[in-house]
Amino acid sequence: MDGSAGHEPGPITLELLADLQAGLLDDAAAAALRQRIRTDPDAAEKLAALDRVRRDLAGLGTDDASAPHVPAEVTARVGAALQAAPPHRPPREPAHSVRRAPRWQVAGLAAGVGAAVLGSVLGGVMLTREPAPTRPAGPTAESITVSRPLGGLPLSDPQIGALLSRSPDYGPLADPERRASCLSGLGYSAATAILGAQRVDMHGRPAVLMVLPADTPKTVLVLVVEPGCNSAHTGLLANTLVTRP
Amino acid sequence: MGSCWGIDRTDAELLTAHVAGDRYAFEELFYRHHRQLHRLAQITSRNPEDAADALQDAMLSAHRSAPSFRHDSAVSSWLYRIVVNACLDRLRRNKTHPTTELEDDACHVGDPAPRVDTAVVVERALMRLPVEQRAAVVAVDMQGYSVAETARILGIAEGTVKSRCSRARAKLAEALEYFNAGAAAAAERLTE
Repeated sequence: MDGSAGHEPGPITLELLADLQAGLLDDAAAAALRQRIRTDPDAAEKLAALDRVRRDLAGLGTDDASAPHVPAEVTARVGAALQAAPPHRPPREPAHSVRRAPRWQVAGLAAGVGAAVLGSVLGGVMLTREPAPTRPAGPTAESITVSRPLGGLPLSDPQIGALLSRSPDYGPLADPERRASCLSGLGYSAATAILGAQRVDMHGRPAVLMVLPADTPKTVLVLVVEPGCNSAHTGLLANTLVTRP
Repeated sequence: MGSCWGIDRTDAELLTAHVAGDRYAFEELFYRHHRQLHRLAQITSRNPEDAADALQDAMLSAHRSAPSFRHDSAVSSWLYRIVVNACLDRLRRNKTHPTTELEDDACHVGDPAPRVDTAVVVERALMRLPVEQRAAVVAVDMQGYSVAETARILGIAEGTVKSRCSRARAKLAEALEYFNAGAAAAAERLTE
């Protein structure tokens, strides 16, 4: 049945071919069977069919367009569990580096900017800023991905706005390939429009500040990265949404 | 300057926003992919209840572990992998359940409708296999895990992984009528 030397080989069944494909035959039996398949078109067709099964299984794993409808109660249940899960917060930084914005700024923001923007606010931290009701603030102020103490953006809102009408100064990220690698590490495509950029100083360390489009016309995304930002290590220092001045 | 106002955020942007503290971004990511995620859970689970449980566990796990995602694959691939792993893990923990062999005869899935998505046809055929065989081919053929990795994830011997893959693929090739003799055999069965 397995075609070992000295025995009359059995018929080439689909099951035998599937065993060959799955690596269940020893080397000698596999070699003998492959030799027979070369001169047996039916067997070759069956093996091709098995290969097609494997390809179609792989395709099924990525064909999300054809995925069937999900029962509403399942979706609702998972959605509710995700809503109840605590949002990410970084470890609390030493007291000198974080201060919540006053409540009136939060109220002004909610009224002025709308729930959609609040829903998509990325964290930012400010210290000693002039009143800026357009700056996202409040409970998410300390939510930031960075792992080092943060003293706020090194540019004010008007300064960031001014960047939009100047040529970008990418500093160490002037090379387009390096910039593309940095964007990729941050989760953006290399083709992402950068609206403005400037070299900045972040608590005594050189950094690059970039302004990207956000998801509403009135806001922009401000990222500050280390000069060595690349796709493996972005060195993200700040990540905040700012309302366009 | 591009004008990107009003365009949906990409998966990567949603995940970044989630890690930065956005309360709604991960949920949006889940809704965007929920049909395929649920499909993978169904295929890799013993029953719909297990699938729903595994899907929820997987999504909560992804929600928690998002900061460690290095963007070295597509976000969707990462989510699919987490769901499949959650299902395979559940099967490993519950493998003392009796295996139920589904009947082997039965509707060959040649669909009378002229154009049905290949993926849907394959899915239907797959769902007729016992979950142990489905899990093996999901791991090896769909997720690309090696036999050794699959054996470890499922808590079974490598030889068992291979034989389950072999049986599953043979049954699928026949049910899907991917070769003439298979189609003939199917036609015979239908007329009996």
